[in-house]
Amino acid sequence: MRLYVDSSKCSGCNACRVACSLNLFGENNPKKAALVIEPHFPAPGVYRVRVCTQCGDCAKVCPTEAIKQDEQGAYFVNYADCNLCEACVPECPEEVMFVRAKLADTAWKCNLCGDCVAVCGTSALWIAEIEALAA
Amino acid sequence: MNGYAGRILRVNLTNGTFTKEPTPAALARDFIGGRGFGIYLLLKEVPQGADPLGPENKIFISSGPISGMLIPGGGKCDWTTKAPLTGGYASASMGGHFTAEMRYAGLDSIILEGVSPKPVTLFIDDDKIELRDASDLWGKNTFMVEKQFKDKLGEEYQIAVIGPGGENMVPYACVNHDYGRQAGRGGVGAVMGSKKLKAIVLHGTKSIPVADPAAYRKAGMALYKACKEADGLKQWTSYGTTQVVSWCDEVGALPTRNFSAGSFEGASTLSGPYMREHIVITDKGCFGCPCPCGKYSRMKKYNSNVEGPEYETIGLCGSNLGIADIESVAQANLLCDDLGIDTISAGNAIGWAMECYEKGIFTKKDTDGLDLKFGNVEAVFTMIEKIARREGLGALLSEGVKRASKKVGQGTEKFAIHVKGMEQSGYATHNATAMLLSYMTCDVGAHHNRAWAITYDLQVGRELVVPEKVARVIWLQNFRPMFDVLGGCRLQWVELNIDRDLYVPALEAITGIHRSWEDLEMVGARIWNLTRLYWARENEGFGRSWDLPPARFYEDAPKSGPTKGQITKFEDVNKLLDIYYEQRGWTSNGLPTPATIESLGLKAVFA
Amino acid sequence: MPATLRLSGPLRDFNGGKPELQVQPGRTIREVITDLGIVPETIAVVVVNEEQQTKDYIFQEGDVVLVLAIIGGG
Repeated sequence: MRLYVDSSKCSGCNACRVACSLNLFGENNPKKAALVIEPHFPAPGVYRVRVCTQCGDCAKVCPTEAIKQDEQGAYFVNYADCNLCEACVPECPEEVMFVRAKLADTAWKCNLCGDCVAVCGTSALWIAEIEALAA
Repeated sequence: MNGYAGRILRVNLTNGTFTKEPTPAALARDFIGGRGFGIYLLLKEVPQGADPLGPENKIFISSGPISGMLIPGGGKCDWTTKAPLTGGYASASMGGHFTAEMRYAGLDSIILEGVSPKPVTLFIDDDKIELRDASDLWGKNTFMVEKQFKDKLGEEYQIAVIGPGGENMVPYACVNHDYGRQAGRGGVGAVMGSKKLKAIVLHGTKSIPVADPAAYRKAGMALYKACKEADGLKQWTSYGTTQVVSWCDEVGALPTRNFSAGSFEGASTLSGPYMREHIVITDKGCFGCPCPCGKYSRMKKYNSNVEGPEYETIGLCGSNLGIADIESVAQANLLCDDLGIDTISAGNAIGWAMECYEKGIFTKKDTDGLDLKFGNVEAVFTMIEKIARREGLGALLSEGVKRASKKVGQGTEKFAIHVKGMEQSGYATHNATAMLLSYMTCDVGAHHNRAWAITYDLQVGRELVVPEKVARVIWLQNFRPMFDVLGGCRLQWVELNIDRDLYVPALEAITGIHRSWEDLEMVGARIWNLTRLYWARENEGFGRSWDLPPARFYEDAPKSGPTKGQITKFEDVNKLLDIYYEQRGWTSNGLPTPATIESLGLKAVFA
Repeated sequence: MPATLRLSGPLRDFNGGKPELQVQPGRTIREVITDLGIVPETIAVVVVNEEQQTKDYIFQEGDVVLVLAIIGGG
């Protein structure tokens, strides 16, 4: 399973990012979210949303093996094992692997909790099997 | 303090100093946030008789406890000041992402005071606060300035900026944010211009503490669920406020040719579905909104983009000016935003001038050679530019229709469409008495968003003057502004009809304090009375005569459309006020009685 | 087969608080809502099977009709 996005449906409201930070950290802080909305305004006037594809490239390079996979296939960060080395960050093809030491003592990424999907009013986000959509 | 960022930032522009004060618990308890903070601080801090454009006036920018939270529409920011347009109370509500960012920077409110000796930008990045030289930005339009900051600093930064309109202190200059959201009405942008503050640049990375995180998440999710399951979600998201264009035309509420009628022959090409099909390229939402009303449009004819036009701009810069081409309306919208003037007041001012021209009161000598007929798109574009620069006829129109018509005389006051000096927003009220009363008694002048009662008129009988209608207006005036107090948007309740009681557990989980809507409406009533007392404090002789509507609505019936020949009798105008004052506990001259002040617990505030 | 009329938010007060009612085909939306006590002018939008229509649309078999009012306002 992974998170999918149709950026053309995004209105840039950021509810997903607040829900994300609330799930990951129990905090109300979209700067600690694991998905990114890039507004491109005033021209051409589009949003581009970047989400984790659960490709696992981050886990492969993690020297402390802090990034693990759960039963639904989602890679998540075990906060206690992260040493903030940032090795994972440049590996992420979607640039949604985060280390911001000022904000948190750990790296963070999408754990496929689904809260972003639940709050998205324009149905821009959804979770589905990886194979099903790749076919 | 749970639910609050915890600090109020005071910026003294005269000497370039900053102080951070803890947000007082008593202020949060009694006035909650947003507009509530605004009126309290305005009364306490701006001395009686202050010149709105002088160093004594201040701007109070306030978020509320649901701003920046997991609450649908928690993206509204209140800008309160003494209004240059009216000389009374101004409170403009700005959407977008600014109010959330303020809270992430640890601020509930920002107080701007004094006058900077040179143009500056207020730069806030968490605890780093600076005033930076903005001499190179002075004179530039809003979009270019916002783009410049975003390119340099990144998309996480939120910007509020004034254009030439604000710099030139046009009394209805606005503040622009997020390429299309404004603190629009009353002239907040002019006050910012008078302080030589070009822009505020904000970035914050802090979390907002809540009383009960688990309950907060649950209540927030329940609100989103209710919105997503609402019947109207798809319709409202497709068209936003433009949904009502056709309906207003059908019921005679669409401002047409300076409010001389309520129905426009070109309405079909201004409608929501027409606009969506022809110019909209994406939806653009404010912070946290599941039903984004913002429509982002591309105008091929002009090779330009704009957020909008919204219903109000379609009404005032479209039908009210006799323009049926949606691309041209969108371009007028863009010009106003980019130059930093309010589309509602600008559309009114130009509509009034067009009527003066068509009646022969203005000739080409007065209009700088422009053929200022209704429907002349190029003339409208030119006038918008001239208003923002205060050149030629634009200098007169920039004063607003009250002052402009007083200068010109010759009966033009009769078709200057304003209350208390603020131009009327987009609902023609020839025969809709509750909506008329709503405009007459609105706390900033003729604005619709406090009490929107026109469907109530239609349901119970539009010309009826009965206590139930007045009670409905008062209830709406106490209730609807509470969304602006809480720092959020009312449209989820308005459009999607979600149960307002869903907000109660959310607010409790955030702040740790249980407040029922009954309690919140009481706060609304207190704020309403304070704004009234503020008007009276600042304007000698303030009272009943200030609440009279534009003469057009009781003297000059439309000659076409569904309200053809219909008008509100002047005796009914007075009857509306009699009932309203009585129900409010005000004197027959429209001032809160000592008993009312006492019963609302306002003696300590308004001493 | 009857059609379904769905009422948004406050309009449900005209239908005993219920969101839906069944309607026999053949009459206009205007007539049906007027019978419920709703003044047709208060209806801002009519959506029939996901498409916008006028209040003079005649109910057909199996239609799902949604009427939206803006009681709370703009």
